[in-house]
Amino acid sequence: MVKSIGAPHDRIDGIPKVTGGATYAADVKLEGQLYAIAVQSTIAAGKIVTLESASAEATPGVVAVYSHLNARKALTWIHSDELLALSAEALGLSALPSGSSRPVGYLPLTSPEIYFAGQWIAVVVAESIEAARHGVGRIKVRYEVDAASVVMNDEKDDWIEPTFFFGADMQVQRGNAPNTRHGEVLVQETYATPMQLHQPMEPSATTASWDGDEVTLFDSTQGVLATREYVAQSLKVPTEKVRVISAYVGGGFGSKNQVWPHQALAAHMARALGRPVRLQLTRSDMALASGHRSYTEQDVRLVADRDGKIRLLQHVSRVPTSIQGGFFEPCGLNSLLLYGAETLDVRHRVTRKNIPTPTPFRAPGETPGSFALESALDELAHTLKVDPLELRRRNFPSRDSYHDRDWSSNHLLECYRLGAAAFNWPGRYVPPRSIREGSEMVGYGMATTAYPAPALPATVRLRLQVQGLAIVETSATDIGTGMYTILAQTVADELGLPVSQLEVRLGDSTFPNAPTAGRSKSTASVLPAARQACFSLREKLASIGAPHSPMPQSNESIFSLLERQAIPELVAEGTSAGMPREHNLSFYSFGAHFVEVRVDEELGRIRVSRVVSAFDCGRIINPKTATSQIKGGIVFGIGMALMEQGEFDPVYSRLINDNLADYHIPVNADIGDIDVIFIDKPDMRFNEFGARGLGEIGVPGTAAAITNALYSATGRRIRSLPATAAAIL
Amino acid sequence: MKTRVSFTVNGDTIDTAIDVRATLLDVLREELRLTGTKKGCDHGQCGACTVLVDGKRTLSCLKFAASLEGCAVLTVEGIGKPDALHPLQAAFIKHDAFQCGFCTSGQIMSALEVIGDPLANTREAVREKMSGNLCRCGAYPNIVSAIMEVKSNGTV
Ligand code: FES
Ligand code: FES
Repeated sequence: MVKSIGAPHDRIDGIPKVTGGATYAADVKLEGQLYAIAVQSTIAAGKIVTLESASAEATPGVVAVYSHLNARKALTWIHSDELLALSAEALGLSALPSGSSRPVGYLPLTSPEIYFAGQWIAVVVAESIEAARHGVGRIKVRYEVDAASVVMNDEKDDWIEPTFFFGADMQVQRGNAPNTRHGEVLVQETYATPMQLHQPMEPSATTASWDGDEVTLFDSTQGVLATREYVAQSLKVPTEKVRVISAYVGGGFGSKNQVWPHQALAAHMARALGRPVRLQLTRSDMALASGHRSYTEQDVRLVADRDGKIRLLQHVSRVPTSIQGGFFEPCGLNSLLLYGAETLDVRHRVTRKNIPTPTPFRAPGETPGSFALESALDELAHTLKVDPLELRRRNFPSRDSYHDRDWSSNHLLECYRLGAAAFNWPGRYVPPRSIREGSEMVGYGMATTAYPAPALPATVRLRLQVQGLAIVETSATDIGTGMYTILAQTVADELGLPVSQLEVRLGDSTFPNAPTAGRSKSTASVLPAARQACFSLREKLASIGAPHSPMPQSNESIFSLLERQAIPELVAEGTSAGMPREHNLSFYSFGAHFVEVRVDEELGRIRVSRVVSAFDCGRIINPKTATSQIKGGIVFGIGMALMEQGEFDPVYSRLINDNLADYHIPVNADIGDIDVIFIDKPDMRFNEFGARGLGEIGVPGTAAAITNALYSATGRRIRSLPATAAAIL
Repeated sequence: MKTRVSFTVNGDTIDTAIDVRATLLDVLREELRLTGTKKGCDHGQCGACTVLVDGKRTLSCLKFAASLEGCAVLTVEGIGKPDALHPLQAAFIKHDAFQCGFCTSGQIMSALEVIGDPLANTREAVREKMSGNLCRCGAYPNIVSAIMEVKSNGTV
């Protein structure tokens, strides 16, 4: 039988997705279901003085209105430290030393205080979407307005020095300042990246329905178990009374990675009203009630020898977080590991602003951080007049000197070589403004990307059914990643079954434990568990009389064995260990982007005409879905480079572009050829598949490769994203 | 306030009283339970809700259902079935033209018009014509490949 792993298998969830049969959270409609829509604060700081809901409540079809005035009593909607600890607000909080005024995390409808514009101040529940919307318009609010601040000011702001986050010290100072008298070269610049919105195409939604003392949530989350825990804590019910189902999730990119208040609120309202409730975020809510990537400012200073060897790397980030939350962008993560400078000064400073709480966004830290670092390297290359690729080769980190560990495997040099060859990279120093074709200036740019390879323990259950079906169950989610398909491929290979005899079921909290789909860890967490489950199933089969061979010769045999023994179903589970035990290694994926841009300087038009990116992500389980995922990451990078930017109103401090017309993401016409190359060398020290995840690694580096190419084309250095027509004209 | 309206959806006649405030999108999803058509923004900005009305692609979130008297609506559920896919549906699977799948119904309904558009014969032209349908997963190059294949072969 042909091995399925490594083959470009079509997605097994393809048919439901192209026929409209895949059920996302808001596609569920239950008997008697109500619809809920939130009301947003129009001010960014201050207090609600009065909130009148009588006219909304009198609107035909409106069933209830909840606000800080009644939620505590009517919904048992109460904030607590235990709840905070499980919420999106808490991530990063422990890294931020606080004085006497300890932030407690924002929970809507618990107080009249306003911390940011767009904060939820009420929820209207009605018989129909139309009635709920009508009710929202009839809520009247009077505020007491305080001064709000959404923009950083280096001198005036209070700065917090975070301690330890994402497994790294946020204040690293190591090595002596190099002696700069001997003709060393210096780059010293400030780089800025914009506020970004995740904008998954599916707005988050929760449909909650009670049956006795048990509640089921049809939810759009990257993690059903984390959601279950939070919702149970909020409802003050035992965890097993809450079931969370997310069989299909319409993208997340981090916005559905943490648990947000609406997920519990739907359950509280359904309990109070005795009817199922669907609470769906509007597109505007998606910008304000499920996190974002904050803007950043980063100072980078490089000191290098004349031959380009980097001696000192200084990378100091200034980033905001919210008034009550904790998440901040750890921009310096890759600066600790790449390029092996003997002197490191990588620090972070955080200040509190009247913004919603930021949250992880596809490669948090690495994405904005790599824009600064990879731009600075390009500036160094141009100062030295060396090929930017050659400069990176000269600074190749042969080991992880920050952690003083070897890499489990590192084929970055191979990425440079294969990527450059496929791109036809010049291979010598090309001064800026060297290439003109017709009315366009042409430029080439490149950048390195790197992302850690984590893994957590997971469990997979197999159910072999006598009628000829093998069911695979785990609570992991497939948010577009391809998890359905790669799990099927894994089990198909281990059991010697065709994929058509498998049914994979995901995203249900009653299924065995698996981590949240985030931080590129699902493949390395879940596939080893599936393999263990296959081992254990084969042992059970052997004990009832199947030949104990690693690969049954014909699939008939295992099913007919069940038939002969009159066993309707044989169940087995397998669990993975997470990170390899007793290692002293750094597990990372690497890659290199090569970009061609074409710039019409008269029109200010920038086109990313060609991208070639090469990746070392270990062994590739499914080159088809893997390529798609990486391309998607590169498209995110193109958006970041050229158009994405959340903007605040300078007077009212509201997010102006909380919608898809004003917040631009790439459309089809923006995306040219993207060529993805995988080195495909297994990392056998990481897991038995040799596979590392690849959900994020396409994003870091892309924006810098594009602005480096823009410099090559035009001689204009873009240090503040996005690079719009205005930046070129 | 309700009003009576009669139109067809995927060939079935709908003759019913509907809330005058209801969009075609909400009627399809909440009343007719055809949830293949998705709500990505509700403001005509994303294309996830694209359906065909009298053969033309239409953003169903911008259309009051009450205005559809006598119209023929086609949704993703009406173009193919799991065991008898439309060539575009098959091409989307073959070319991996989606990841999360949330924009996919809208992409396919838009593509249905584009495959018959004589002005969209190059990848560049198809990219332009498909630019009203956002895909945050970034499946764009694969969407174009799927459409080009159906355009050139008529099948997959
Ligand atoms: S939902 Fe209609 S265009 Fe977005
Ligand atoms: S496939 Fe996810 S938005 Fe297009």
